[in-house]
Order: sequence, then structure tokens, then C-alpha cells
Amino acid sequence: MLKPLTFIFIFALLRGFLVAQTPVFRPHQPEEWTQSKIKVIQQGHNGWIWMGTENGVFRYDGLDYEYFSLPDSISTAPNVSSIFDSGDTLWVGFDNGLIALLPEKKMANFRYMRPDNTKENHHGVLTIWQPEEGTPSKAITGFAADLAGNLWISTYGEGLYAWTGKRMYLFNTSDDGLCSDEIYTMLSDQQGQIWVATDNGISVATIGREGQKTVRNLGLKDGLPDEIVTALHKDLSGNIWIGTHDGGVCRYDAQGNTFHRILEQWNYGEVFDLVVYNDVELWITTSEGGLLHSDLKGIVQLIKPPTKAKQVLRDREGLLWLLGENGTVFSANLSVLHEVTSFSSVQAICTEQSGRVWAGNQTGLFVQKSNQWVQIGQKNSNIIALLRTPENQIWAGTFGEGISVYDTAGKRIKRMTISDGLPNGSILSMEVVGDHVWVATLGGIVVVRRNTFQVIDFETISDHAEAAKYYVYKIFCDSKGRVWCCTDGHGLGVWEHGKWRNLTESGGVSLKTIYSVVEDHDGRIWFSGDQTSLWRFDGVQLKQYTLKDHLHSTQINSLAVTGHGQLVIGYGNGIDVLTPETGHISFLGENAGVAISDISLNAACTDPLGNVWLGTASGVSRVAGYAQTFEIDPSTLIKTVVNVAQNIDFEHVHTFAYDQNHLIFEYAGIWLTNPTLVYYRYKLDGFDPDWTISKDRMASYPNLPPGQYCFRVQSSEHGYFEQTAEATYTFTIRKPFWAEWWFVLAIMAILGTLIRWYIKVREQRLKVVQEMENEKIAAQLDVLKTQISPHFLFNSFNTLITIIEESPEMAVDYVQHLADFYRSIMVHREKNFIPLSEDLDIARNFGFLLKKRFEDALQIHIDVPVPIGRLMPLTLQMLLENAVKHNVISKKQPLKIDIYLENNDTIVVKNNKNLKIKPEPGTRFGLQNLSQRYEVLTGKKVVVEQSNGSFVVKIPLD
Amino acid sequence: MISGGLWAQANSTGNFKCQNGVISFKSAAPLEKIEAQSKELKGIIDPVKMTFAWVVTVNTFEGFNNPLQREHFRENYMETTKFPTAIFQGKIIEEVDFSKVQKLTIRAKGKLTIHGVEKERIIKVNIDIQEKAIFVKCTFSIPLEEHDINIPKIVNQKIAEDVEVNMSAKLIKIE
Repeated sequence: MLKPLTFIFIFALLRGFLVAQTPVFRPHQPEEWTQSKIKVIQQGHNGWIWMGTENGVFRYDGLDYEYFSLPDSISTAPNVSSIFDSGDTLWVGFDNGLIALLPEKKMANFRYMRPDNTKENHHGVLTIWQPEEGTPSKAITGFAADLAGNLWISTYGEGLYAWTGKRMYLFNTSDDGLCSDEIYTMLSDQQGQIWVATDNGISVATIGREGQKTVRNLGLKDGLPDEIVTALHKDLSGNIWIGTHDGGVCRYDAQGNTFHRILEQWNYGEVFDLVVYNDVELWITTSEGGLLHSDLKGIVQLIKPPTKAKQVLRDREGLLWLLGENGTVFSANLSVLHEVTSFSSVQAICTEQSGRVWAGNQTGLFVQKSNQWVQIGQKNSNIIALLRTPENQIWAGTFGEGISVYDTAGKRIKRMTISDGLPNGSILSMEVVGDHVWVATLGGIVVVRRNTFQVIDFETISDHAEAAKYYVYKIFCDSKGRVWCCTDGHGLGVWEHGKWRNLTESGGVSLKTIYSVVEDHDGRIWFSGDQTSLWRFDGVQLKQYTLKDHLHSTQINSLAVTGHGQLVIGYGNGIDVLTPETGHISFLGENAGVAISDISLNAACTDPLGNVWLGTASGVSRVAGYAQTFEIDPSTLIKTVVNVAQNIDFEHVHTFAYDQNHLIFEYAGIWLTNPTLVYYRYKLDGFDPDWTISKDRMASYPNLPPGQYCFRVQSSEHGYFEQTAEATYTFTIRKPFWAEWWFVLAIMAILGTLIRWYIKVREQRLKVVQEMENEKIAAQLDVLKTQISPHFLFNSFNTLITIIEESPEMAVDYVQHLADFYRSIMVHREKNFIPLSEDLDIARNFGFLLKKRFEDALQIHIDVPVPIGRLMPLTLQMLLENAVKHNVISKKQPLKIDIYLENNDTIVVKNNKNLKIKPEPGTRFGLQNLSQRYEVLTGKKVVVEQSNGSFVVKIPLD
Repeated sequence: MISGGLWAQANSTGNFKCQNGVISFKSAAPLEKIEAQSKELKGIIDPVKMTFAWVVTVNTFEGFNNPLQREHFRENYMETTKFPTAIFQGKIIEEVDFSKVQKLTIRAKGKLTIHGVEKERIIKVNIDIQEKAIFVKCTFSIPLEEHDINIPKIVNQKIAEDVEVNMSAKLIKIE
């Protein structure tokens, strides 16, 4: 009975924390004022890490934290329970059902905050979301967006909400058949279906355009290993990875509608969370506190994480983030995992077809067995070269003791020494070339038949016997069958179909000692040598890579190519990962969370999965070689634009006044892998002739002249900017208004108009004067014409004849008055004004003449005791004449005319009205002309009053 | 008209019942404001099952600007001969203790049937629970298009596309 128990105990130990390519976890300690316990983490689309706490959310760029609080109207701050970045809005769910949001614009306008600034002065404020339907009253456990753009909100207790942008729908157990209203987590699959995880299985929900709901439930009967589902994650192929309470982890195959468990027996506890890496690895956190590393088929290793993680997160750069139950946050770079082995100073490394790793050092040969390293063969044999052949044999080259060949079970098949024909017992490198293995020994190159282990002289296969004597560090056979030999002092030797040549010089640089050589996936040869850094040979030309090409160092220890075609360059203190297509280089070292140091010379190999294994001073390191789907450059964004101490809404505002010309740009390049490495390159098009490269996260431009500008900024973690995306802000500073063309034009137009107007007014005045002059002349002429019209004379003479007969004296008097009248016309007609007394005299003379003609039928009363003032000549005469002309004059209906003064400033001519039935043909001028002339000359109006009985004309005196 | 058994048990002891709730609507149209109300809203809440049902006869709405407007409302828009009632029935999302005197904001999830078209809605409601009565108040909007309420083109100028509805009611506990 004891034995099985012991076995289980040992098994558990083996599965324990013994063997591990351990990630290096870096803590992210918020500043003092961010001590609020972190409840949830999420990455925003720009690369930020959002941290939800007991007290609002923080935005973290790897260096600094910025704080966004709930508005002051929320008195009791709830805990953040969920965060979701929809691309234009950050959604924050709280454990009391409250939902707040932060539009992208407001994030951008939030003033950048350094940790030494106080919290009170700088923080953003979230907006409370208030849809008409209200918000849930139970904890928000997740957000998701489907393909139609609907926002889904899961709750713990109320079920699932779908928000279409104008209407909210609720999916719950009783009405819609949701498997439970208590949802742990949620995701949107590749088809946009919403998966929710509950204690009662999984529900898959959709909503149609008209609000049509569908719910499909997946439970034990469908093959789910456990109905309590705690974690959901989707991979690149559209499969859903499901974490359960007791049943471990399973994969839902969307094609076959089936569930596949990764382990039939699960003894790691409840799955808290899980994340898939590039469809080849799973990282799982459990209630037992372990971090499980799975290759999708089983558990590869169990790592003890620095915190009991309740949430795991994979960011855009491929970092693994852990959020502990205690609120602590750690991140790890999984691209390089290092294992400290019991045997140190690994000198040689190779992998079997199964992926199992063999490593050798001064103390012997070791192989991975059940997650432990087991020694193979003799102790204290000094292994300096390892080779795996297509037969899956392991050839171990020693220092001084020849070659031992093992099968994968660890059994030695063959041993070759000097006595078997090797020129020397120390083996530097071995390589499979066709049916042979080429062996580089301290005594030169020999060839061994793989099937018989028979040693053949190099001269039999090569035209260059000299090469057999070379001291070769590394032999490499490329995809075209060429064999490359890294020689000491003779450059890079290449053997092709029996012909040998040496590459010893390129562009004046002589190639002497070469250490390492590999071939990339496009057939280019990469090699490195002593102090000559890195070379690329495309079959025709050699290209050198130096520090200028952002190589980390010229001291290259080993080269390898990952399964995805990336070149791994090993140094003493880290690795460069070079993408051959673009020349992009990323350095991974200690400050990138990669504990890799003292990589041994040519201790490198690529496993069948494409991972690169490196032997180092302290153990073995694995460089992840799966398809690189992660970002390799920082995400660059402009955070704020400040113009003359004013925050600018730079999404919308692009034009400034001439005095709004002091701009400050704050930007960020988010590179969480190694934030301190980030350099910026910025340039203000229209102002800067060249790029400025700096580590500052701010650029200031005081006193910009008017013009059009474009601020451009790029960020890079390796100083290689050519391929990195740039963030830009285009703006215009206007000229001052007085220098604007439109202003000049407007001023000219106004001036022109004024001048035109002045000329016009002047012309008009001249015209009026001219007209008046004409009128005066016309009036005089008219008066003359009237006065000397034949009619008047005829009437006068007829009257005279009558008088002469009756009384000659009176006739003399009449003629005298007639003469006086004409004389006064002659005297006064040129004048504008004459005294009233004189005009009265004219009127009297004229009246006398009329009286003689009409006798008692005409009665004229002039009542002006003191004549004062002036008026136009012949005014009264004209009015008398008018009265006589227009009215019937007879004994029965006499015409009565009164002339008198009113208010001492007006002379009034009043007559009783008794119009002729047939009106006299009027003259052109007359009363109207009189009025006009008065108005122009005196500015006063002539008043004409007509009533039934009388006709009154009031002439203002000057 | 109302399906389900809630009205059948309308007089069951323990339920809350309303006979004369007030429901009004207004359309804040650019040219003409249309407002009407009915005092004949009937409702029932089952505090155990947390279900409710409300119904109003559309023809009981009064208070239009003029008789012609009322006529249009009844015959052209609401077609009251075909669809005489408007109904909202469903469940209360939150758990509410109706025996406790308190004021709350809750949400009701249910089927809103207007003009014969049923739509699922969540409506936010303020309730004031007294010892023997409940006072209920809420405001929500009805997009006319959702309920196939067609408005002639020219009249589009008159009626807003969303109609705002206000209701308040007192429900008495059936002893």
C-alpha cells in the first residue's frame, strides 16, 4: 500500500517547482499615492496598462502613473471590477453596477503627470454612464464588443446586457434561458458571438438588429469537463480555451463543436485565468498559486509566481502580466526563458526531434528527463560540441577524448578516438553533410560516414587540401548543400560540390577569424567573427552590420535562427533579435526582464518547434521561436498639446492666432518591455530642418512665426526609427490680421468706397446747386413770361382803356402802378431775397392793378403793421396771381385775399376757395417750385393748408 | 387582452393594484407640441414573483390641442380600433423588499406592446413603498418607428420621432 503513495509523492515532487525555464517577473509598484489596491488590469489600444482600483483607475506607461477618479458626486467610491477599451472609449465597470466611461478625447487632453506632482492638482475625471434604462445594481464582471458594434456588459447577479447604442437589452435565466445570471467572465468570439462563463456552464448569446435574441447553452452533456467555468480565452484560430473549477483547461473546437481537455486528470486546483500565446502555449493561474506553462498538449512546467495571480494578461508586446490577489502587479518577458541548471558553464547544446534538450559542459553530458536533468555517459568528460543526426543519434564531441555517439535512451552506440582515424581528440564542431558528418578537430577537418562511422580524409572530397589543416570553430551545411567553415585566420571557407574557396576580404575589411555562421529562411548566410561584428552574404554581396546598424555589441558569441526566421545574436549580456527582411533589431537584456548572461561560444541550436536554445554560464535559455505576432516597436502617441499654457483639443483644433504661438508637445512611446530604452525622434515640419533625437518626452516651440506646421514624433526602443509609425499633429499659425491679404484687401476696398462716396456726394451737391440755379432762372423767366404774357398785358390794357374814359387821373395812376410793378420785377428778379416790405409793395402794386380790373369782386387785405424779415422776390405777387387764376371772381362770389403776419416769422396768404370748374392751364412752376426753392435756400418749409372753405399758404420769413 | 395569469389573480391577497394611474405623453415637435394624458392606467404588481403588468386603453387619452389632433392620434397613428390597448408587463430586475418602507430606483424588464408591436424594454422606475401602498413614477421614450407607428410625411414635421412618456400611479395592497 505504501508504494503507490510514495510514487504519487515523488510524481508530485517532479511536477513541483524543480525544473523551470523561469520567466523573470518584474514588479510594478505604483507610486505612494496609488496605493489603492489594484483589482483589475487591462491594456488599452494605445498600449497603456489600465489598472482599476478601489479608487478610480490608473493609466500606466511602464514608468509613470496617471490617475482618473470618479466625479465628486459619487460619495462612496466602489471598486473597479472591469475595464474595457473599445478603441474610442474606455469603459469602467464597478462592483456596485455603476458604469463610467472616458472618451479618448478626454484621455488625450488629460495633462501629463509626473509622479512628483501631487494627485490633487492633476487628475482626470471619469464620466458616469447614464442610459435611459439605468445601469445594473450588481457587479460588472466584463465588457465585450461584437462585430455589429454592440457593447455587451456581464454582471454577477443580473445576467448579460447588450447595449446597441440606443437601447439596452437584458439576457437572464428566467426569460431568455441564460444558464445563470451570475457571470464570471465574458468574451466575444471570432463570429462576434458572446460567450459567458457561469457556475452552470457556458451561454453563447447574440442579438439581432431588431433586438432578436439567441442563447445557446453548453454544459456537461456537450462535453464540458466541469459546469463551473471560470476563465475564457480565444486563440488565433478561433478556438475558445476554457478554464474550469475542477476539470482543468479544455479547448472548444469551433469546427467540430467539441471540447478537448489538455489533461484528463487535473490536480492543479481551480483555474483562475488563462492566456494563449500564438496558439502554441498556454499560461494558466490556479487557486493552488502556481503558474502553469502548457504546450497545449500537457503541462510543461509549474512555476512559482511572485504572487498568487487571479488575473493574467498578454500585452501587445507579448509580455505576461500577473495581477495578484493582494493587488500586486508583475510582468514577465516570455520571449527568453532561462533555467539555472545544476551543471554550470554549458559549452554545447542540441535538441532531439522530440524537442528534448541535451547539454554538455566540463563535467559531462546531460539530458532533460521528466523535467529533470539526467547525466549521460562518463562523469567529467569535457563536452564541447553536440550534434543530432537525422537518425536521431546524439554525437558528443569532447575535449581530447574524441566523439561518443548515443541513442535517445542515453545508450552509447559508438566511440571514436584518434585510433579510429581522427586527427585529434578534441572536437570543435560537427555537422551533417549528406551521408557524412564533417568533424572539425584541433587537428583539422575530417569526414565520417554516418552509417559505418568510417573516417575519411578531407582531401578525398575537396579540391583544397589545405583546408583540412584549418582550425575551424564551426561547420555549417546550408539548404543548398554548401558547407561553411568558420576558420581561425583564413576567413569563411565555403565548400560547394567539391570546390573550396575562402571569403577573406570585403570592401577593404579583411576577414580573418570567423566564429559562427547560420542561414536565414531566405537562404542568406549570416556570420560573425572576431571584432568584425556581423556579416550577411546573399550569394553575391557581403554586407556588414555594426553598432551603427544598432547592433548591441561587436562581441558576438553565437548565432541561431528561430523557426520563424529571426536571427538570434548572442552576446555576453543578452541577445539581439534581428528580423532579416527589415533589419529591425531588438535587444533583450537584463533591463528588458531577461536574465541571460555569458552565452557560450557556439552553444546554440534550434529545436523542431523553432525555439532557439542557448547554453550560458549558469544554465540553458530558451528564446521563443514561434510566429512573431507581437509588436516589435513602441506605440507612439501625442498626449497633450499646450499652446500658451492652454490645453488644446488637438483632435479638432488646428488653427491658432498669430500670438498663440508657444507650443509644447508631450508625447509617449509605450514600450512596456523596456520603457527606459525608448528614444524619441521629433521634427516640426515647417520649422526644424532636421530630426531631433532625445529621450525627453516633451518638445517646446516658443514664438513660432505664422505658417503651416506638422509636428511629427516617432519612438523606438533601439534607436532605429525608419520603420516606426509616427504620431503627427498638423496646425497653422495665422498671420496677424493686419498682414492678412484679406485685411489689406478689405482696407483698400473701404478706402475706395469712401473716396467714391465722397466724390458722389460732392457731385450731388454741385448738381443740386446747379439745379437750383437753373430753377431760379426758370422761375424768373416764368415770372417774366407770366407778367408780360399777352394775356396779362391785354387785361391790363383793357382795364386802362376803361379807366382812361372814366378818369384820366386815375389812368395815370394805374399806368404808374403798372410801371412800378415792372420796375420792381426788373430790380428784384436777380436777388434771392428781398425785405418783406418791398415784396409787400410789389404785391400792393399788383393788387392795385387787379383791383382795377375786378373792382369789388376782389378784396385784398394786407395787414402787416411792421414788415420784418425777408423772402424771395415776387412771392406774394405769385400767390395773388395764383389765387386769381384758380378761383371764380364775381360780384356774387367775391374772392377775398388776406395777407398777414403770423408769429412774426411767417407771412400768410389766405383766400377763400371757390375753384373754377375748368381749371386754368397751370404753369410749370408755381407753388411747387416756390416750396422747393424755399426749402433749399432757407431749410424751412412752405406750408400749404387746404380746407373746404379756404386756401392758405404760409411762407416762413428768413 | 393581457396574456398570462397575472390579471386573473389581480385580486389575490398580497398583490398591489392600481385602478387610476396617470400616464401622459408629449412629443416635443418643432412646430406643434402634442400632449395628452390618461387617468385610466391600470396596473398590478406581484411582490412575491416580482412580476408586474400595466395596461391603458389608448382611447382614454385626453388633452390634445384640438379634436382633430385627437382624431388623428386615434385613427391614423394608433389605430385604436385594431389595437385598443397599450401594455407593459414583465419582471423587476432588482430584488425589492415590498414589506419595507423605502424609496428606491429599480428597473423593470418586460414586453412593451404599443400599436400591436411588442418590444422588449428595460424601464427605470422610482418607487416609494409605504405601508399599504406603493407610489410608482417613471419616464421613458418610445421611438415611433419601433412600433410601426407611421406618420404621413408632412406631419413628420409635427410629431417627434421619439415620444416621451411619463407615468405615475398609486398601488394599493389587496388585503
